Amino acid sequence: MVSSSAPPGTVAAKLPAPAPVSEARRLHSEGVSPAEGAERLAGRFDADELRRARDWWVRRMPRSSWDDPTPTKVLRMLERALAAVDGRVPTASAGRR
Amino acid sequence: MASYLLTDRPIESIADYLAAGGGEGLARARAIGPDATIATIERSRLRGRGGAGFPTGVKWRGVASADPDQRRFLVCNAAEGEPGTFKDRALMRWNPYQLLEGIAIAAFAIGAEEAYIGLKERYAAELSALERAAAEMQAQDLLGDVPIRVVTGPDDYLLGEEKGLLEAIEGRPPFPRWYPPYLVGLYTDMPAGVGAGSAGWSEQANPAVVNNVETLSNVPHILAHGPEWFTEQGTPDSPGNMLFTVCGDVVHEGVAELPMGTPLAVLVHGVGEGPPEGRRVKAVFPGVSNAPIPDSLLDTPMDFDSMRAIGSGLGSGGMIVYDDSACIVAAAAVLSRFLAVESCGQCPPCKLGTDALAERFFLIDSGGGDRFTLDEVTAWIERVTDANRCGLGAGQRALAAGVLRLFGEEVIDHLGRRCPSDRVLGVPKIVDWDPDTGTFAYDEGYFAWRRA
Repeated sequence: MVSSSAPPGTVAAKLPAPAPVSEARRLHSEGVSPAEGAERLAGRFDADELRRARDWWVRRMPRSSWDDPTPTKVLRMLERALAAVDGRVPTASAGRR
Repeated sequence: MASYLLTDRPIESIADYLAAGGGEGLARARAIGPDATIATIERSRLRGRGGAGFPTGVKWRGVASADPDQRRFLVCNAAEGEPGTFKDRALMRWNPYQLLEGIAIAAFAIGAEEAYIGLKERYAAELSALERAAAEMQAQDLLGDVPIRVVTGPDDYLLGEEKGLLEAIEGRPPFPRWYPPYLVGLYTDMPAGVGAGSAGWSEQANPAVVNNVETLSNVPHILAHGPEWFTEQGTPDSPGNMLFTVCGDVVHEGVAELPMGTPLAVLVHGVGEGPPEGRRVKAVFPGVSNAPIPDSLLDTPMDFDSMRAIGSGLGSGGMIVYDDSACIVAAAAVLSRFLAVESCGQCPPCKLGTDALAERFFLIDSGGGDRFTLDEVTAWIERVTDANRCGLGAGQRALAAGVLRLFGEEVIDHLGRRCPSDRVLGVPKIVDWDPDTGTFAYDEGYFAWRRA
């Protein structure tokens, strides 16, 4: 009876995740650490791709439960990968925050 | 193992505390050293009592083993704010000494530079109990060598969220940050705009252990009596006793210390003496961030895994009981409204989603909802957790999805029809307990003052 229409005023479509996000999620689900995962991402994607992926993830990063660490672990992997390929990063998560 | 957290009578002086065996835990920790102290907590399998049930020993070990160059901190989360919960405040009033001893032990074990107790400025009784106890313990050298500071903050739900609490300790509003305390703790000197992986970033930046009041109150007893004593009670996965709050539609409201794994029915019908005469239990909400539990599942053992197995959660052990005079849609509406008010707004899907869900539940309750309203509810349940820095949105999802899953027929019965129940429900945000009447006082004017 219930369909899944989008609430008004929100981005309805389920846009496909950028490739680095999908890859980071896959690595995380396989138990790869953020440090190692970041290395692999940095070897595959350039700074623009990683920056777009990081920004996308910051807006999306869904939690499955309130104590789910996945969002921050994937974010960490993306941020570290971005920093590895571009030293000028201004990243989403300020150090003091 | 009888009650050890809430003893027969309150501990009101250091003499009482010492007579009851106080101080032995810290002495033991000092004798065996930090590493063995952590190992003792690991062997006890103590799990955090703030809601997540994370193994305390693992948390301590993770911070203790950080790069030696990093500063380490211990934070006691005493900013209890979950509706339907009063156990941390009960503990601080009843026996502030065991909490302070637990803090001293934990700070010693992880090599903390400083320890903080973060609580709401509104908790005057607890603050004064802690200050009095700290002065007495300090005079007898029972507080260890790590300075303990008390920080008070606003009466916001998110002050009790560990990343929000760290922000408040640093002097900012309690808006949760991205990274957990074991990665980014207190007073990191990284320049603004720099995050994980950037120059100057290390694996852990001044990591902090954040433990709940009840978790730390268990620690002196485990050190004094040994981990095997602790694991004798409770379940293999959730050992020890836990404090449970029972409130709402029960004859006797209060806080009880029970072994983990005790059936929920014992709390509701035994401690709470059941619903008022002529009524039956309709649902029990474990706080506002879990799926409600119907009457048919009251035999569920109260431990982390059993509650999770039925699609709900233990939360911080606060059980809000609604009898059959209450409307479940109205309950969902008012609890969702609470989350909407408390959502900090840093993550728009959370702020918009909690507000939209509360509005939709109120609409359904008033008879103005239709199947499109339900469509919107299900869509927001999916979206409300997007970009969540903290777990508030996920709590909202669990609550709303649980109501639809377990009380779907009642929700559908409301479509296009005004609710037959004229009972007005408030937020069960507890401000005090009256032991003479066995009832809690609630924050009756919550929406008025919080919106102001």
